[in-house]
Amino acid sequence: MSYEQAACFPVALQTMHNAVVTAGRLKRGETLLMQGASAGVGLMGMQIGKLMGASLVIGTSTNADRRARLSEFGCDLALDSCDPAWPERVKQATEGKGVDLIVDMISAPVANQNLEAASILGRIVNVGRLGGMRGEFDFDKHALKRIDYIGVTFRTRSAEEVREINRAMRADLWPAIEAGKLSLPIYKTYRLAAIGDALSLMRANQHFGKIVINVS
Amino acid sequence: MQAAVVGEKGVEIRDLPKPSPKPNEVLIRVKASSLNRADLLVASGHQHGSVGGVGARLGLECSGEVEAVGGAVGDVKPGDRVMASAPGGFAEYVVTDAGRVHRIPATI
Repeated sequence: MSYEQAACFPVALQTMHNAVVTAGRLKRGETLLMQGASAGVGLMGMQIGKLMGASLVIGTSTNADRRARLSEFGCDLALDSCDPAWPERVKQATEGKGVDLIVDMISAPVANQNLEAASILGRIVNVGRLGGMRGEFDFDKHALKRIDYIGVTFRTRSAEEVREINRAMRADLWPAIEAGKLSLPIYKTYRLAAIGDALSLMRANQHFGKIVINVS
Repeated sequence: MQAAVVGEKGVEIRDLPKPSPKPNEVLIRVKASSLNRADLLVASGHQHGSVGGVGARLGLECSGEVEAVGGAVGDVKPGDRVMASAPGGFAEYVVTDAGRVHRIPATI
């Protein structure tokens, strides 16, 4: 494995193993929806879901070109979260039940649609808030479906908690890493001196895959 | 060593002293790093957890070669090829907790 490929993995692996397996408690045969699937963490999260036995992996992206590529990274059904009918599509794909686990990178603008798309006793893990930090939340639907809405972040975790997250991740995923079963695409590589250009490319948000800095 | 740091007028490359590992830490000679969304927050001067503001070192993850290890570290040794979540990863050298460091598979 090249250094450039290896540099893409650590954050996605620790974030998504924790979100899908530990916080989200995905069980074999359950269904998973990755809300905001086209960033590096989302692409890894779908692959981890598949590897841990998800029967159906749904990924959302608002960009058609990105949606077309999600199937390369474990996605069975790609949906556009700007389409108001997407929760209905989730129900159709899950025999009317709704999805067991939503891992959410978007938050505010999709919060109520997530509640709509989730199954009774479903779990929603709040990993990212790319769509906004504050929004409407249907407390009655939350209660009605008895949904477990779980917040996660590394910002308030102790060193020991982070070690445990990485231990659990390695135990579940390292054989798959060694077998080359998990991958992330590299979109573009920059020298360290061009870090400003790399950050501008990420800010423009037109890329698909990881932006890498070659330091050596 | 060269490192990407938040300056008064945005991100700049500065010459900083090479860090040395605490007992639980690994010093990595960085070969490659990759960007995450949170890097944009820090780059624009926002606080992200304990990191932020002028002088903050950018980067959250990297790969490279182990240069040195702290006294309590037994899992990796100098010369090992590793990947790690590592605050300050956009730099020629970085230290991070040994629990965040993984050996790069030699098999693929």
